[in-house]
Amino acid sequence: MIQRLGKICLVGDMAMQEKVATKVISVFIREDGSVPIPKELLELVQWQPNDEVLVFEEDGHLVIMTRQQLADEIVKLLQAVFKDADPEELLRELEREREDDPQRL
Amino acid sequence: MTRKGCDSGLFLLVGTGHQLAQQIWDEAALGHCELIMSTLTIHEVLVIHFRRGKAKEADKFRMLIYSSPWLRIVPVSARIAERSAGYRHGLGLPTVDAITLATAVEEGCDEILTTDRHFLVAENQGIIKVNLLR
Repeated sequence: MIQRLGKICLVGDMAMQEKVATKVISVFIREDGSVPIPKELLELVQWQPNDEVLVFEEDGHLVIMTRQQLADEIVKLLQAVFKDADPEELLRELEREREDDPQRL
Repeated sequence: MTRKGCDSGLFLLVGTGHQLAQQIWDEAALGHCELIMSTLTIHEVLVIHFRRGKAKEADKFRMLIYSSPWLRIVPVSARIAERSAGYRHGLGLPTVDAITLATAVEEGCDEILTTDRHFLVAENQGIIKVNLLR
């Protein structure tokens, strides 16, 4: 189990990890599929019992993060894609893509 | 909870630091509103990624967007196709805009968030409130 940047990633194969592991604790998945996360790890990412977190799969890993973290992750990704782009030119590009305006046909 | 239809423009603005778009994005993420978008929006945003040679980022965007509970991604159903045909013919909207508008109306959205002035005709016709983000 790895803590990084406020997220906890549960991975099947530790050897695959390229990120720096700060805390690794072995846990066993329960019969109902739930995974017990030790309190000390929750404290590291400042999560409290009953906080809502999102759990999803990414490239064979289970990723857990808060809604705000996921929202920020998407923003960061979009910022990287549109880095140095002129917003107005981007919007014009989008509108050009839609140029099947019936008045122009 | 309010439901806001949106088109690709919202994502372009969020990615270029537009303050209001960012605020709406955060509000949705925290569960204060739900964003409704057509599958065509995924198409448009991915095309922009590919054109910039960002296939890897496109893949990640796709995965993160599908994991976002505050986003409802609506496929083009027969009802949406039928309604959008009327909007395209009657309002003179491009096909993508007509489908985006039909999606928001069919999903009962309170307003539509867009950067495209084409949509203003929908507000003028009393179809839906248009929040022009530019």
